[in-house]
Parts: sequence; structure tokens; C-alpha cells
Amino acid sequence: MGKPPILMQPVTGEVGPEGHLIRADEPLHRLHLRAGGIDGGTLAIPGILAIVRLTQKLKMRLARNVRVAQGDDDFELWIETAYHVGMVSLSIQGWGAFLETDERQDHGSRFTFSPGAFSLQFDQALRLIASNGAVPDDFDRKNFGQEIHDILALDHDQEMALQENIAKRALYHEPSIRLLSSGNAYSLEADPEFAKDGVFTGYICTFSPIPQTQAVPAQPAMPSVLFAQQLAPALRQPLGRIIANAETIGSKLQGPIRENYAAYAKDIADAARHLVALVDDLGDLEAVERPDFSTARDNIELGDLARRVAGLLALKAADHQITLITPPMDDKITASAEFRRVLQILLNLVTNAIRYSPDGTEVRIQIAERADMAEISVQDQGAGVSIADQEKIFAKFERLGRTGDGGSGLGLYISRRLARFMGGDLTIETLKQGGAKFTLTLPKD
Amino acid sequence: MEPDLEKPVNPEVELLATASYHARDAQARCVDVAAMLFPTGHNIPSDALISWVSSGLHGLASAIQKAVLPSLADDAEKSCWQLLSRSGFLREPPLIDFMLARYAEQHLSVSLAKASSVATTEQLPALLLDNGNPYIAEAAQILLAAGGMRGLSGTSLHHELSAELLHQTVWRVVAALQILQGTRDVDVIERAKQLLATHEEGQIARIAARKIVHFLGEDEAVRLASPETAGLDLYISALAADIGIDPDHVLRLIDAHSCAPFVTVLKARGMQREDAMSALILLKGFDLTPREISAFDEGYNRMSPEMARVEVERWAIERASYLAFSVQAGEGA
Repeated sequence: MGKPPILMQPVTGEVGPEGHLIRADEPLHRLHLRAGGIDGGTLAIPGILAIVRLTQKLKMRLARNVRVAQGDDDFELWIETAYHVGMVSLSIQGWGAFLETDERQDHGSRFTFSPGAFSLQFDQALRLIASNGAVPDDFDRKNFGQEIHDILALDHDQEMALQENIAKRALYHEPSIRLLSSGNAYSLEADPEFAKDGVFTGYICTFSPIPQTQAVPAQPAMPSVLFAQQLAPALRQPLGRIIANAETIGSKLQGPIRENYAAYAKDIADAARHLVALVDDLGDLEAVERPDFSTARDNIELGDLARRVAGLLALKAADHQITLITPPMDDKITASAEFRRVLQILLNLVTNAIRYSPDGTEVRIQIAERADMAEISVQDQGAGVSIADQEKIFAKFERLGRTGDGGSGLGLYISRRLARFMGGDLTIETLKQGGAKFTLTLPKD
Repeated sequence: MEPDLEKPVNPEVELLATASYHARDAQARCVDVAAMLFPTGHNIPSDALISWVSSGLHGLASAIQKAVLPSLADDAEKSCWQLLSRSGFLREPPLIDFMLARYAEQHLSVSLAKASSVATTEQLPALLLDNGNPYIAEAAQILLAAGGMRGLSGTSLHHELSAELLHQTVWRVVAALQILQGTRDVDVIERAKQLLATHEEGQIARIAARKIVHFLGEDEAVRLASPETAGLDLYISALAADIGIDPDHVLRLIDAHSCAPFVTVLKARGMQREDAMSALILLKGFDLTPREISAFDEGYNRMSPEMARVEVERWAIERASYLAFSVQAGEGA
């Protein structure tokens, strides 16, 4: 029996001072979850946690082989750690030891690659476990451990064909397929692999570059879901702790402090809240920019939605003596769109209206219908937006020169993309009497 | 070393303190003389071994002192060494065991170089430099560099210490320096932290060897069976990994006065008689007596690998217990 193939890229992760898994590449994250861990919780793999604790205790770099249990088996991993201000970074090498069978053949020796060609090996669950040949530079190491569907950009027909062949454990050929990481096109030969006892052990997929003349024009590279799935959860937890601690200090619950210190604590909490909002926005941005992003269809009563939003933001509005005016109870217009996305857009619009309106003014939420479209608008009594800036304001990271107000410059960009994904739009107009009016149009139910 | 009495308040206090110091030394002398007359080991260590370990420990302490306090004067360095040697720390089993393993390593590499017909350029570490697995290639570089440094005068052993042992040693040296300086020197502490933070276990030869063994494919692993083709570090590391004991323990077992422990280790690994004999000649050839060869000849095939494994496991447990608690087999209870 040969040694199972191993990943050439290390699997990395970071563990916080309390032993919490702050960040992890997908294979480590998956093992952590399988071992009973939770996102952001204490690292649940005892062998690795022990070396992390030792690294924290000694504050030194360690290089050790560690035995970890996986199901009924034990595996040895080579782990190198580094310490940095309470945090321990992990570099786990040779992750291939996690293969379920050690009777795989070494696929690397079985292929002679044409220039630019490479192969990817997938296990029984069709997770990427090894690569060979001229793997593209932009092929991210985080792809290891991901499923085949997260690595290939498949259209509907390709997806069906792939599933059918996988189900039959059959050879599969696809003349043109794209990698999600780069968008580059390749021809694909997928060979099923079997152990000596006939048990299916996965697929080896050989990718050969398609000459430029044959290739379909390249699509822009798809962003990974790195931020939303990995960084955002890791950031929210410490930010939440900062907010909670800063508020505790600011509220003087732990004892009296000087007034200016209490004000600093409030600034810290506000800054952390801003970062949380930014984290949320970046997660949404990542989602809405994925070509496969889609929304659901719910029946939404817009008047009810307006009142919910007003209720959610009543305190914020009261802080600025702003009156939120909602549609009359008997006004009922129903739109067909994803409820949580429409709620997100409306919250963003009303928050902006409160943020940029003078204190003591009104923010009015209205609903209307035109032909086959339903509308919900948010109108404020602020300075309005000049004609020249009315398109610019929907651009990514556009702040129109504003700073320090807690905005990220992403909210309107995301809102408009969401509106358009749902078959509607988001527009702005400056009112003659002053103030801006944002109108969200959505298909009527 | 005379105690630092820190300006006694009057002469009779000084006299009493000196008297007490020397009076108590009588017990220590008792222990020292008994150890010299009746050593607890079956084999009395050679003068060469004692000299090597002594200078190694001195070099180790000195290198750490220089790293944390570069401006240390010679007489202060001497005082620091005396303080450390009297503190008992340098007598602690893990440190002495480390030094003895390094001595064994040196001794065995010389034996292998004399007996081997394979040039080091043909041994596995050199061949692995171009290995397709970058982890192996990188570790092979480290191993070759470390092998080249071995035995060179001035080579600092503190780079070879495990993280735990270096951590312990550095802070003991810092403590000794603080006692001598009579103050808490923040710069010394910062330099000590820096020394620890920059220490990389991955750069230690035996760790690099362990890493290679961890990653090596089956085709190349065949070459690990012989010290001649594997080179000492990889051979020891593979042997240790196969039977599940510490590589330093393997070194010390091979370097024992008798070849019997090594023979047992080889049997535990399941080596064929001819291969075992070959390894024995390569590493112990110059020390083998006709009686030992005869004992090997008669006993090797009669011993089962299971018997050997059980015995080796027992040694490993005893060693771990001794290093952790300084309790020798048969002691305690």
C-alpha cells in the first residue's frame, strides 16, 4: 500500500489566546466541525490544540508531527506553529493523510501532461485533495477541501451531465469548462478511481487548456466566498466583544470613571459598530458580485414592511428628533421579491435618511404602484443629491466626499444590485422642496 | 563559589555565614564521593564523554549568556556559569540526556563515516534536495547544512534544543544573570524573549529528518532501512518513527556499551538478520566484541519482534518517567 497523496499547499489557520479557532482553511475548518467544534469556538482537535497551547505557553515556533483521530483511524500531520501576541498561526502540511483509503494509486505517475495541463484529484465526497501538473498560479490553496462544484463554473447542462456521470461512476468528458478561480477554459477528462477491492475512491480530473481561438471569451473571475464564510465570522466575534466591553466601560457599570474616558469608550463602541457594519457590507458585496447569486420570491406587503422598518429604526430616529412617517394602514401593495433582501434595502435607505437629515425633520416612507411594478420610496428633508452625483452615489465605495459618518460607501451599491437581481431597480431624485427621494421598484405580485 | 553575603552587618555574622556554608557542604561532598566511588550506572562514563558533556554544557550556557547579555565580562560569565552549575539546573536529566544524545550522534556519525562505502553525496539527504515534494527538499537542505556543521568547534548547541528545553534553559540563565547583577535587567529579558521567538524547531536537524520521514514516499523509504544509504539522521529518525520512540532515545540505545539494545531495536523494527548485522557493523563495528557477535548470532532469530517491541516500549516508558520525574527504573514506590 502506498502513502496517500498529499496536498502540496499547507492548510493554515489561526487560533486566538483562548484557544478559539479564529480562522481556518476549509479542510481544517471542516475537521474542527466534524470533531464537534463550532464556528469561532475552541479548537476541537485535541492533538492540534495541544501544540497550540504549547506554542502559547512558550511563545516559540514549533515544528512537530501530531497524531489526530479521524473516525476510527489516527492520522499523523506535520504542523508548524508561530506565535504572535497571543495568536498562534498554524501551517499544517501533508493534509492528504486524511484520505479515507490508503489504497489509492499515485495518479501523478500515470499521466503525461501536455503543456499547461494539470490534474485535480477528488475524494469519494468529491472534495479536492491533490493536484498535479501545471496548476494555474491563481488556483487558490483554499480550493483544497472544497467540493468539485465549488471549483468548476458549471452551467445547468454541465451540472446535470456531471452529476449523471458521477452517479454512474463513469468517465466524463467536457470539451469546455471553466475554473471558478480564474474563469479560464479547459477541456476536462474525469476518470473515476477505484481501490483494489472495487470501492469507489473519487475522481481524477485532467484539465487541458483550450487554445485561445477555441475558447469562449473569458468571463471575469468569480470572487471566492472567503470573506463571508471565513473572515466575516472571525471578525464579528472580536468586534462584538469590543462593543460589549466598550459599552460596559462607557456605562460605568464597573465603577466611576472620568467623563472624557466614558466618551472615549463610546467612540470605541461606535467605531467597532462601524466595522461590524462594514463587515456585513463586504459580505453582502461578495455575495452580490458572484455570478451565481440569486434571490428568492416572496410576497411582500410593502406597507407592512415600511412599518416594520420604522419600528426597527424608531430609536435611532428619536435620537435625532426625526419623525418617521409610514403609509396608512389600509394602503396595501404587494411585491414579489425576497423579503429579507427588500428589508435590507429599506433599512439601508431609512438609515441613510436619518444619518443625512437635519435633526427635527421628517423621513417619509411611501408606497405606490405603476403598471406591473410596485414602489416603495424613502424621502428625507436633507440637502439632497446633485444631478451630477445621482448616478455616482450608486458606485462601489462612493462616499461623495463624506467621512466619519459611519457609512462604508457600499450600502447603495449593494442595494441597487439586489434590486436589479430581483427584477426591479433603485433610483434617486432630488425634490424641488429639498431633500432626496430614493425609490425602490419591484415586480408586483 | 563563596556565597555573596551582601555586605554583612558585622564580622561575626560573616563568620557564621561562611561556617554554615562550608558545614552544609559536608553533606554534598558525601554524595559526590559516593557517586564517584560507586556510580549507579553499570558502565562508568569515559573521561572523553565527561569532558565532551562538560564543555558542551559550558558552551550552551555561554552562548545563551552572550545572546541575552552581549556585554557580559569574562569574570561575570565565569560567575554565572558557577551559579548555574551550583543551582542544580545543569544537572537536570533532560539537559544531560540531550547532551548525551548529541555525543552519541557525533560518535555514531564518525563510526558510520569510517565504515560506510557510500559517499555522503550519494546518501539520501543529498539525493532528496531535488525531490518534487517541496517539504522534503527544504528539510533535506536543513539536514545537510546541520550535518555539515556537526562537530565544528564553536557550533552553538542551543540551536539544537527543543523549544521546551531552550525555553527552560534561557530563563534559568536569565535568572542567574539577574542574581549576579542584583537587578532586573529589562534589556536582558527582552533579548531572551527575542532569542526564544526567533528559535525555529523546523531548522533543527533531527526535526528536519523527522519531517522527511513523515513525507517520504514508499519508493524512497526503502533507502531508510540502511544507515549507509539513509545517512545517520534519517536512519535514526525512521527507526524511531517505526518503533514509536524518541530519536534521541534511539541514539543513546545504539551508543550503549553493549550492542544488545541496538539489536533489540532492530528486531523490534522487524529487520532481517542480514540487514540487522549490516547496520550493526556500520554503526557499532569498531566496538563489537567476538562475544557480542556470537550472542547476536545465536539470539537474533530466536527473539520475536513482539518480544523486542515489548521490551523497547518498556525502556521508552522508563526513560520518559526518568526525564519527567528523575525516577529511575526500580526506584520510587
